[in-house]
Amino acid sequence: MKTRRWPLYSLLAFGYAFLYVPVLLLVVYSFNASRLVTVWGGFSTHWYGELLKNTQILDAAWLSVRIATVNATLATILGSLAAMALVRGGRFRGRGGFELLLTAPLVMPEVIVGLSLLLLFVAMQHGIGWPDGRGFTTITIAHITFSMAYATVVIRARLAQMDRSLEEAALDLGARPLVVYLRITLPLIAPALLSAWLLAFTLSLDDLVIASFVAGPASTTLPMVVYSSVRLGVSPQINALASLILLFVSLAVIIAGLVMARRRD
Amino acid sequence: MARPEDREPGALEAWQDPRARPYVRIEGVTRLFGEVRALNDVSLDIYQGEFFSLLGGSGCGKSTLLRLLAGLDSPTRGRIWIDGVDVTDIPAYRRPVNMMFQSYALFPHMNVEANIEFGLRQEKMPRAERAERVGEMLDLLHIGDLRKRRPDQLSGGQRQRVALARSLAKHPKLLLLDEPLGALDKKLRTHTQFELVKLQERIGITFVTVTHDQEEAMTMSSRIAVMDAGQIIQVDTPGAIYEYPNSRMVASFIGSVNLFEGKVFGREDNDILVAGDDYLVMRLRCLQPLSLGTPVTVAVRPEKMRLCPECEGPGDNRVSGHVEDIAYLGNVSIYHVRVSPEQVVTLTLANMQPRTEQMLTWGQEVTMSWSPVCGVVLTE
Repeated sequence: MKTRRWPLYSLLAFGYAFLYVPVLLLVVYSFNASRLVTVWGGFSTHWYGELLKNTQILDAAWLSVRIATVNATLATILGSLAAMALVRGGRFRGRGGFELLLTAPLVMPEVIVGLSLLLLFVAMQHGIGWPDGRGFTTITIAHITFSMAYATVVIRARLAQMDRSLEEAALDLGARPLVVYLRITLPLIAPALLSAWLLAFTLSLDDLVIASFVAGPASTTLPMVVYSSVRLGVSPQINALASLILLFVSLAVIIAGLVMARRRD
Repeated sequence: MARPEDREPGALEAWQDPRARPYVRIEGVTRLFGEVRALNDVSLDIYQGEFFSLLGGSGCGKSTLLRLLAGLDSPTRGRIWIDGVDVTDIPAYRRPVNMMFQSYALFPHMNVEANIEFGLRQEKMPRAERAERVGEMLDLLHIGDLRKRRPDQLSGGQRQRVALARSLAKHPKLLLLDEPLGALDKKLRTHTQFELVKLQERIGITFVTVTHDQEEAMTMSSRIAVMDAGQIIQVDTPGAIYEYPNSRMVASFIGSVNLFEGKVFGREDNDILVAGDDYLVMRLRCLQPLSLGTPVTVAVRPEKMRLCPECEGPGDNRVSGHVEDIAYLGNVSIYHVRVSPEQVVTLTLANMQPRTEQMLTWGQEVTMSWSPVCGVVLTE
């Protein structure tokens, strides 16, 4: 009997359309000549030019990328240490509490995290004079606190899967613990480290709520600029910016995929 | 290894020679995991060139003992010497010992060559020498054409060889093998058993292996230590363990065995008389002094029993019953004979005639006999 496939396929098509048509429209309208976002006025790269002249957006983008990079790197390092402690550390004292506190930021409302960190930074500035004002440092610290939790979860899963006897075999063959870590553990959890880094990078790049709390007057991240400019009416420059980000992200994903595929062969 | 051909007739094996110095000495080793005693006051001597097996069921502590030798774990109490050096506090990466893991633990991100070379790199061996040693190992285990493959492109048997090559590459004085054949299928396992023994004889390294497979231990080992609940129950050659088990546990763990409970009620020359249930009287060769009334267990191997009346000798023990089950295995048949409401005796007979002319059928009344020297008297 021939099964009727079209209801299933149309459902699938609808699902994809719901997800991706808006994104596609966003890219199409970034090439719109008209000033109005919703009315097509012919093809033009005008808004890309405008965007490159808009120092406010470019500065914010640069700041966001710097924060995201530092955040992703530190969160991955801290996350891998925490994951090592949880997976390899045995049943140390306070393990349960450690685990709970580590994963709490995953479920904590961002508003609460943001507000509490703001209060902390203000109190510290009064108490010990550091951090001196709010900006790059405070946003980065705030981002690390929650992206580290995600990084830990990702790395921990990989580490738990890894056969413990691989490390023991390396030890047995005369490799010192540091060499074992660098030559065996690290290469084997590298995919997880990469995912954790990318995840932390993304989380930081599009965080609006926490950054709004702990940012200073001189430091505005990209999501904050986008959000505030949208409130004044959407400029096609934002479309152009979004398209560029989309381009970079897709390239990064494709390159990562190719690298992984080559490693496997 | 003292090969049979170059040993003088009548010469002592190392473990029988009181002047021989043990190569590995385990002294009063206890390992606690929380409240659990994985090893309880274990002492053991292993001599140069031995193929020594630690045999026991799961959770008996055999793997823990192997890990202690490798230095992957340390004892709660007790000391371990290897080649006269106290290695108890020496970490795994400084011990002259290598281990082959049950899972093989081949590094998945390195090819066969790099896996074998890994240990050599750690000793900072020069490149030319390393290449030569890797070549030697590839030849030794006939895996030269696999050198560029990754572990996930190898079959189970090939992985086993690579793991063995890797653990031998550093020319360790002592090789530890954790269930070395456990992951192979039965046919390959039998073949590899003999190969492993030949290899060990050729390179002359002391092997200590862990296995739960008694057949494997019997085939390969110079000596076997039977372990149970964190303790060593008996250490001896495969033959002695099989023929003269020192306890019910060893007797029933190695091969199958018929156990008869009874009490000592008399002695005649070198034999004792044991009264079992149902007026069963057994006569057994037993040199150890046992006082009258001592409860004992008599262990008789199924293949040491014969069918009456054909081959009954003077003074043989007899027991009767009817055949309940027959398992035909081709070369032998195993018969289950119910001798009392509580006891079934297992009897193994070689099938010397074609199957159609089987002498026993279900329900048939039979009498079995065994000689006084074929039963072992156990008090533990």
